[in-house]
Amino acid sequence: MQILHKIAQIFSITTQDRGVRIMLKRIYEKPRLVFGCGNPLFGDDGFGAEVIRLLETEYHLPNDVACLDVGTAVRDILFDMLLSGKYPRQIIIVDAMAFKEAAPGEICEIGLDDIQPAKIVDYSLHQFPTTNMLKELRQHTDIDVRILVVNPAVILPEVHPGLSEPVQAAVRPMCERILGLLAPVSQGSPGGDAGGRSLVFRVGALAAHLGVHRNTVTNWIKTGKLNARPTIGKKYLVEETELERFARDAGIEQAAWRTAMDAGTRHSLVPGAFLSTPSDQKEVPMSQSSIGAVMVVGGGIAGIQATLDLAESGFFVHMVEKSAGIGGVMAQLDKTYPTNDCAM
Amino acid sequence: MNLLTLSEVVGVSGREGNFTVTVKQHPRYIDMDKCIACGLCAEKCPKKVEDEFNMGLNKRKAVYIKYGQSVPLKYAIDPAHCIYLTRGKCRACEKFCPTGAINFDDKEKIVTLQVGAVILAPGYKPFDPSPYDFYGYKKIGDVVTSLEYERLLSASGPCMGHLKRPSDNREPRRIAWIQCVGSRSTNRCTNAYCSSVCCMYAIKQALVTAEHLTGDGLQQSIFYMDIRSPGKEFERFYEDARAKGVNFVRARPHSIDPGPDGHGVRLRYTTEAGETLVEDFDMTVLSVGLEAPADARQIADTFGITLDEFGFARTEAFAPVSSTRPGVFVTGAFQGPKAIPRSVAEASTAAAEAAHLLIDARGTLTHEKTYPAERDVSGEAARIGVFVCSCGINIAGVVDVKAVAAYAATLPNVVFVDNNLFTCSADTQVLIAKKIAEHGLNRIVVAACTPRTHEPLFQETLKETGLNAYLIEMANIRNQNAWVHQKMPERATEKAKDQVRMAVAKASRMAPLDRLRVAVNQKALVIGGGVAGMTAALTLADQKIPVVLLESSGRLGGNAWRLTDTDTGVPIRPMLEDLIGQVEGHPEIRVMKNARLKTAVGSVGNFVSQIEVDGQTLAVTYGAAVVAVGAREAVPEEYSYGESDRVMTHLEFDAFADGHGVEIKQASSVVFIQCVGSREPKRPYCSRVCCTHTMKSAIRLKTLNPDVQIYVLYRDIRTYGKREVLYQKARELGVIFIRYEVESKPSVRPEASGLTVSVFDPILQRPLELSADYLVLAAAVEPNDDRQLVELYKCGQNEDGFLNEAHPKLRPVDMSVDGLFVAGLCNYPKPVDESIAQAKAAAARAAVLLARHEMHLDAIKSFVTADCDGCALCVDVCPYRAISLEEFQDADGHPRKRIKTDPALCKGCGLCMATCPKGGVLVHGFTLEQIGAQVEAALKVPKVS
Repeated sequence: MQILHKIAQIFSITTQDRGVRIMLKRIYEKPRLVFGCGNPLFGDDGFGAEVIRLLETEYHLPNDVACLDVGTAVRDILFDMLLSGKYPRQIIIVDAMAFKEAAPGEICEIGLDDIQPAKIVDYSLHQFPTTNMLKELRQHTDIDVRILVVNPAVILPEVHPGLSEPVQAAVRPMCERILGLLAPVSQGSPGGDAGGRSLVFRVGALAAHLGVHRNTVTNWIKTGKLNARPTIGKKYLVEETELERFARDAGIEQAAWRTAMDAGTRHSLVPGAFLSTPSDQKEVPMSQSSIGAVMVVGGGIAGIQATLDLAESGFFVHMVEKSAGIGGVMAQLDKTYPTNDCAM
Repeated sequence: MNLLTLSEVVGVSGREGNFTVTVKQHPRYIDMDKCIACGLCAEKCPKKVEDEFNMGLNKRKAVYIKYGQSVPLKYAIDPAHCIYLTRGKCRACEKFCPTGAINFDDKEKIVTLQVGAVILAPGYKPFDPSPYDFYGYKKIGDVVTSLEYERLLSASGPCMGHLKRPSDNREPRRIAWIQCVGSRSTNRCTNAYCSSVCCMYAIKQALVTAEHLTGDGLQQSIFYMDIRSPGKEFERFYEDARAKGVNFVRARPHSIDPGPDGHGVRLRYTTEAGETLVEDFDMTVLSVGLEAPADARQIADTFGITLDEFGFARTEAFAPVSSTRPGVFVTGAFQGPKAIPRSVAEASTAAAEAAHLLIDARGTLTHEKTYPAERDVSGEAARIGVFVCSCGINIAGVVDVKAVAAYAATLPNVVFVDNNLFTCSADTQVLIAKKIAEHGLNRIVVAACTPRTHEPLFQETLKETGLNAYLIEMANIRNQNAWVHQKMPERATEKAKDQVRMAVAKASRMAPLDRLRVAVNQKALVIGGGVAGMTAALTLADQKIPVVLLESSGRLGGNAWRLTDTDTGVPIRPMLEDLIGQVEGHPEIRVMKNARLKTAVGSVGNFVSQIEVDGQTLAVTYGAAVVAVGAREAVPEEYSYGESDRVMTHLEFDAFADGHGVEIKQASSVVFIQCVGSREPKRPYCSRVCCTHTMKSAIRLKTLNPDVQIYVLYRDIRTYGKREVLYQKARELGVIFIRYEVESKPSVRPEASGLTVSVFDPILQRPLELSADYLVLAAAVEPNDDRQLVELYKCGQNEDGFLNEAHPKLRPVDMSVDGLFVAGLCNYPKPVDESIAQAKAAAARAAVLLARHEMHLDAIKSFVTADCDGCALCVDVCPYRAISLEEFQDADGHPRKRIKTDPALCKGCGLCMATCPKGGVLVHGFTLEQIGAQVEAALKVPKVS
């Protein structure tokens, strides 16, 4: 969360009177997000911030929408979102970006590939300009990513706050355009209204959050102490209220079950699942998707024994050995204790 | 399976059940299909390189095999040193390779593999002492690391097993070992843990050294801090070394200098009594510790797993092989320093976890090979085909193979003869199959190398052509002839003819043999309902194997009810209750409490037992059993135990502390005495768990009340592995450790106000009197009385009463009786996390057996003939108890006796056949007639028809 603090610090300059921390938290709670990008200190680049300000003050937005003036930090926020594994349903990006043959103040929705080369760095991982995080999000999750831009009149090289006239005039039309894009909420959308939310989790991950053994969680479910329904991919579905009730009854620390709840949306709690391949997201039952092969890394005595056991019980084994032959250190030993048997 | 050598994993994506792994395979520059490991390439290669297998103590060539028995036995070219690959000229190996296996166009390959689970077993890195000048390593010629010393001792090592010291190649007489080099040290390196294996390997090296050297003036000195031998039979090994004169010195040499004449090593050290000594040795061995592999961080990043503070893979106490990423398991020394038996057992544990995860996909990617129907050759006269192998020049360079082939053609029953460059090559297999069909061959003789490596290949060829796999005989004219008679080619050729004649004589009398198929009863019995037994039962049941779990008492859980937490501080009670809940609720597990095993008959795959439950007797059938009958805390017989309430064992003190928090907090002094009942003549073993238990109790007391005085009276502190951090913490908290000798044990005087403990302090060199509110005795772990079980199954136990494994290193959870597996305390004292790992391993091994409907046994088994008269001489010699005596009625109705052999138990060793004076029991494939024919052929005795 170091990044979050860093962003929070940056934000407190541009959005002094708004509770930045609360704002940031909202992006993890709301399924539909509007990000205004750009730096108000440089002329028309402040368009995004102005759109957000207007949306928040003059428009009545549905309560599952969060607006955020992200300034120049959209990259960090997207990266954080990828890491968190908690994805919204829709992201709308508002920015000022020059596009061909358009008058200043003209509004346009562009595709991910239409982002200007100069701008693309904003949406890329630090030092990895080829990794467009928006593309990542669109490809590997089912987030609806939209980009709305205004053609700026002037983006001045020196500090000069304030929008040009044509761009200032585009603020209100842009707000309306955004409202039109905010699709109606479908029933049971993940991370929807706070009450009656369902969590999907794996036993091991939930156990890790609650600080108990995974078998304990399995047992709760088996005995019906925790009302959870099995769902696809060896996961369980539990109502948030049910988890809270159970956690209170079982005397589990509030901090523990709160983090479990925060972590458990429709995406798994499995660590290391970010930037993963598309096949990850196909939630098909284990019996259909699991592969009857195991990779053993290392050809020493431990690797050899694991390989033999698996091969003999019906699994295909790929053994990966760094050197030209297997045997490991044990092959180098002369004799072994305590029997003085030959190691070979 | 698919073996990818010279390979490394570069990317992993996906999740448990379905990972995509990208592997980079470096070029070998040798075609593995063509290489026959003749070694010519290495002989001709002009480039010499330090041999890393021998720790750089000698040279290998740039084209090399790692070691003589390497698997795969295929050469590889080292691109960093090959003259052609580095400077563009040479290619000598290519010119001389007889099979054209050299391929300089070989390229790096990227392979993408789909797997359901990953097991990481990358091993460890021996600590490198070269950055630390005070060890003198690399500066003083005769200072070597223990792994280098291992190679110096090895018969396959750089000095062929004739121990020589590096500086002048002279045989050393006086050798010193320095322990804890790169272990238990936070001063210069950060390895705070104990490497767990160095004490034992140093003792082994000292003992093996004594076998290598003869004469007077031999001395092996081991300089140590604590001797740690907390494993099965380890303490005996240590005592044996002491008895054989290995000198154990409790001191750490502070200066390591070259010997006076530039050879050898001069050590300076201070004894416990404060005396500084200078001693010269011919050689010094640094007992280097185990570190996480050099690429541990990279492995962790690639696989997305977490490492612990020492760089080893992080696991949890109750999931000892599960990494922090689901579907990725870790085993061996990568998880933490450990010796071979635990590595092997936990490898089985990892296999069990992977199998459990992928249970639904079992068998989807493996398939059984099918063969044509077997041709019935019983009515046919023998038609023998002889294939004489040149093995490149391995055989042909010495033996005149053409002459041998020509001679073979003259032998009776031989209808076809051929000489091949490599009889084992793939194209020759096609040729053999073709000739079998063309000439109607029904027996095959291959004159080549050893049947140990190549007979299965030829058996496969025979089966593919519809011939019985046992209709082949091999004459080993390479290992037993060409290789050993290189200087006598003519006589070697004559010997080869003799060998072929013998093989043909035997082949003429060979008959088809059937591999026995035994139906497997796919159910398991688990004996003992403690943590080990329950874990084993659950592991099996999760693999859909029905389990009967026997518990002798009225409740499951055993000793674990009396334990508080693990060495890493994880509470045991929730895990235990959870485990019991799962076991009792599992549809595949039938729990029988108050149950007693009364009988056990049968053999692997098919056992039957009678079990008495609440006065009723039930019959249970099963294919395999896991024995986990536990052990118990011994009752101390000394230190005023039983005389004063203030003297308690560990488990009693834990229970007392639980209910008397106030008294415990007010205590001003607590004394612990270690090795109570352990490491003594009555129980000459270390109980493994007590030192760690003491550390935990002492830390808990010091945390409750920092002012309490705690004294630990010990012989050696044995907090092995990562448990060492507990010892350090206890010392940091101010716990006082006082060592005592077994000859002068502490004494205890109970008084009205408390206890007085007297002990001699070897540092102060004076007796001390300690007053104590409580005295905690680290009582031994002793086995339950398992004699009945041993009698029922005819399984083994050691002198101390612990049940034995089949092999301490390679089969640590199998028992000597096939189909029986062992786990937990009944095998040897161990903490609960190790019990869990062992139980999962035992269950995994049992599951391998129980996963199949039927087992194929080898056809080489003993059988009874009509000549058996029931004298029973063979019954006693059978090491596998496969022979029993039975009574029957002959044709005339007279009662008679004869023996019966159990093919499932028989291993075909032939001891019975050699013992029988009447030819009453023979072994298939090695009958008296067959062996007799070979002997006659060898002696050229004219054949008696």
